[in-house]
Amino acid sequence: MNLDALYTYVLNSIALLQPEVIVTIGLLGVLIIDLFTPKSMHKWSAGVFLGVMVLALISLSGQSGVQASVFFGMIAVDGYAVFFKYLFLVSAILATLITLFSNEMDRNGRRFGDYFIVMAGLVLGMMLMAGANNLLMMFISIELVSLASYILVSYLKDEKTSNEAGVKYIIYGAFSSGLMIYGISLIYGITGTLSISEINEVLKNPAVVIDPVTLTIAVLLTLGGFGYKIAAAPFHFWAPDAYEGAPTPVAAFLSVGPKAAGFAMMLRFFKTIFFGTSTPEGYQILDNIDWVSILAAVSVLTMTIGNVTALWQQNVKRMLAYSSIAHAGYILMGVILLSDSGIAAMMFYLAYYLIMNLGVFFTAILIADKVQSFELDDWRGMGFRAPVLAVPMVIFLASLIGIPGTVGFAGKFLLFVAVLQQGSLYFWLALIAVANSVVSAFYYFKVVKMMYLKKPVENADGPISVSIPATILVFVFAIPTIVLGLWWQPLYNWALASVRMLVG
Amino acid sequence: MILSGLIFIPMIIALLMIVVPKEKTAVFRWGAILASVIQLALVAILVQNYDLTKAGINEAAGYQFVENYSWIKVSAGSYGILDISYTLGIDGLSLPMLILTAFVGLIGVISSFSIEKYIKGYFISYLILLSAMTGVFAALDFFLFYLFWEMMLIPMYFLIGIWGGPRREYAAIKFFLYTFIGSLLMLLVIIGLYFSYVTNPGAAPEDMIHSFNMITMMNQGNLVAGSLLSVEHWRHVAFILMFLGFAVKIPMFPFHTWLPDAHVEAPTPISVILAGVLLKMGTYGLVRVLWPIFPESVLYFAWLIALFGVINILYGALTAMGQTDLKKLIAYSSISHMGFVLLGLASLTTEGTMGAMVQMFSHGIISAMLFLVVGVIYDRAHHRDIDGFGGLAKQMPVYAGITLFAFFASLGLPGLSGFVAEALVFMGGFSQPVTQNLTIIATLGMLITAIYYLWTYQKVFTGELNPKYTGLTEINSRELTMMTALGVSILLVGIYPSSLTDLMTVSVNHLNDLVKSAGTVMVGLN
Repeated sequence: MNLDALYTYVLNSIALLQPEVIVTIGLLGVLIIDLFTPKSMHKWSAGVFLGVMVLALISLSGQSGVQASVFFGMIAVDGYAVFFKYLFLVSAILATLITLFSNEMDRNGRRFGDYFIVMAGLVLGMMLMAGANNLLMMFISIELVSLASYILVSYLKDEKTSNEAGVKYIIYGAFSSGLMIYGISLIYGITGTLSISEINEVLKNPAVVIDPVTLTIAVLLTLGGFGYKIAAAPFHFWAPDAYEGAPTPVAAFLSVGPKAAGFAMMLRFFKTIFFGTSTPEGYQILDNIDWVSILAAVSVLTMTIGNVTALWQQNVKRMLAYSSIAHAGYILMGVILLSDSGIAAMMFYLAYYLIMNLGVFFTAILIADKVQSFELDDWRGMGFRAPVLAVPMVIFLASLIGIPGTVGFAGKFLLFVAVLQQGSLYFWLALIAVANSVVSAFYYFKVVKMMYLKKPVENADGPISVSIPATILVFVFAIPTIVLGLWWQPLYNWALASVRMLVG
Repeated sequence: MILSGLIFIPMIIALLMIVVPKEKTAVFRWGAILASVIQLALVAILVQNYDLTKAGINEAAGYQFVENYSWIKVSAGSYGILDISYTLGIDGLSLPMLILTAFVGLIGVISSFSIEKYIKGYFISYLILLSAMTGVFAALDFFLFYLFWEMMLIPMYFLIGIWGGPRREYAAIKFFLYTFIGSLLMLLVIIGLYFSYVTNPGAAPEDMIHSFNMITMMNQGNLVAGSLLSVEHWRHVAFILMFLGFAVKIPMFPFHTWLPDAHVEAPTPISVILAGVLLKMGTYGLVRVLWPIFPESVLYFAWLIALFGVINILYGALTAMGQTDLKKLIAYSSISHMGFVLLGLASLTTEGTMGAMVQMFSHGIISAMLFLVVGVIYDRAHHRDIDGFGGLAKQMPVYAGITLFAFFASLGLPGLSGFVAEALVFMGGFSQPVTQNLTIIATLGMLITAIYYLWTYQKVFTGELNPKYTGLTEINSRELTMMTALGVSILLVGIYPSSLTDLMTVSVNHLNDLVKSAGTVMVGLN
């Protein structure tokens, strides 16, 4: 390839990465604006950030139908990645709005700018994660997300809990990164390449003999990195502490954005590397290692640990952290099914999980801002003190349980559909998920019980007023939770179409 | 449109109520009355225009007032097309249940006038509950059915949990979790059914339309060869799982324990709804979906279902005998009476099935009346301890008379609706070898029922008047209106059963024929 051709190639690659480029420029823009504006205007950075996100969304909308591999196979731009990029940008916008309504972030009157710089870096990392087609690219983007997350978790530097959360997060993160990079090096050693599609070629080649034990170990180690990002057992220990200590808007964002990115990347990894040709019944899987059983075990373990531990929590924030672990367990069911509908159900669930989980976190933030506490006991009688918050809260919790008529049900329903599509093969998995849903109903309803079945303390607990914009934003989450729960055809269609556009 | 109206009018009124300030209590009360009266009027129109010659069950053409709109339709590639539709329609099985729902619903609203706190939230929850229950009885798409089925969970949780008695928190969450686990098992089977049946059998896999339509699933020709539910033992597993989902609602021993708790803690109108309509959702589910879809499993498990029915009858009656709390007594008697439905359905005869259907209706109105009776005395004396009264007949003669009437209706006095139902069930059960012996044992239940009701009446109403209660006021006109309406219906069905059975005859016969013929053909499938 001569220089001119190379030049054109790189330009074309960059053109296909337009949304990422916009986010990068936005990152620098926020940085510069924050440097040169007086402190009284520090909330402008939020506006700039939002503008950048919207621009990136617009640019992304031009990428429907694109199916390409850019920068010499480093990054894929396909329907699958685009679907997730939408998810990340929307969640970033919503998380920013949540941040602006939360008192937590400007309690000590600090400037906002750095927060949004890091946030932009996080979004960029996630977008790269969705497209990464090369083990090295995967590792770098996952690190970018992790580093940004560490900073955001410990953003409230004056508060001990926030710092503690940051440190715990970093230690676990460093450990998982170590495992992952070791796994990657083994895979490289075995196959001689870092590109996941080339690894697939090598594994498919009958002439190449590969020791299954080494490969299993390598994949297990790599799984450590993914497991850490999606907070799957046994790599979930950081999550409750990090979520509890982090500023709540950050916890909300971490539970949807990076988690979705982790899933996006993990699925691309397994699907590209370990599949042969796909057949109408599903995919033909390369039988080097039994990663399906491994992931099935991880799925069961994750949902059970998340739900059972959540039962004992008295702190809403911590309970939501465990609940988000449990939901990762449900979503994993879609990953192991080796079917289009399984992957589509996973993507669908992640999108819907975004709405309900940001909603539940935001409502919790507003309630906690009023009563200064995330302890369940302090929320007693909230249904009578602040019905505009408590009613949406019930909707979100019902959705997290999976009561029909909510997005949570639509997600779970499609997961079950995908699971039972395999006949009786994974019937046991569906039964375990059912048992888990019942357990989860119990602890989610502990919140409802506290809000509605316990009476507010006389005299001490008066009615709570909520500002109009905050109320509107709550309903921006609550109304789709029901409407999209009853009308999910477009999104499911989109998810199905995106799966078929996965660059393999 | 009339069925949609019937279902959604309460919900629309409930949504309108959200914007009304909570001080305007009259708006909520009369708004709820309005919703219920409209429902009743619409049901009257349904009955008026109902064609008695059409059977329904597994024939799409036999359903009446059908509404069918595509709701969600996704092409899932090699697996065919996922098709969810908004399908409503009624036949002889659902019409009596709609009458019951609208009627008991109205009684419940009138009874709810005694609710004093959080009136706004109460009526909104109540009306949503009413919509959900009506929807269950009119839905023909399994997805829609499930949606309505679950939609009643949350309002019911609040109605018991906020307006209930001292142990309301426990009762509310217990009700919620029991029902939830049952319905999740049901969901798995629904999805299994959806994969196994298509509306266009024989089409290429990617063109197959997998539908949630119940009628599709009732015609075994639509079964996809090689699918999960074409395997006999998986069909039995699916039958059991779904049966469990319904059994929790019925409630069938040993899944009944939520019921006494829920009844004792729930406020009177909610007990009325719970016993009057909600329990019937369970048995309605059996005849609407389980019997026609799994005929061979029904034949296979008939004796077991009958056995559990008899256990319900005897266990409920014996436990009722031991109760000191009047409301708990009636809750256990409900369990006992729902056992008759199971026994009748297991017999698979015209008499038995008809008896079960009549029992569903009859128990709906009788138990509503019984809980109102308890409510009357609880409102005045603030306790329900059977041993704590005595001689009330002197103080409240009208009330005593009404109570006696309700008790007699419940214990199966000829001339009242309960007798018709139970006699039919016995006739059906006795005529079949499978259920014959069990039916003989079940008659004991009637004896025990008579014993505990008469005892209770004796303890509460006869003898010396407890001096504490010389100040009790007689039943008021609002209560009397409700009692009279229920009493007249009980008499009507008792004296002239055809008024009810005529609506169902064709459908019931068709159901029995279907189960027997399809069930016999399918035994030995694969």
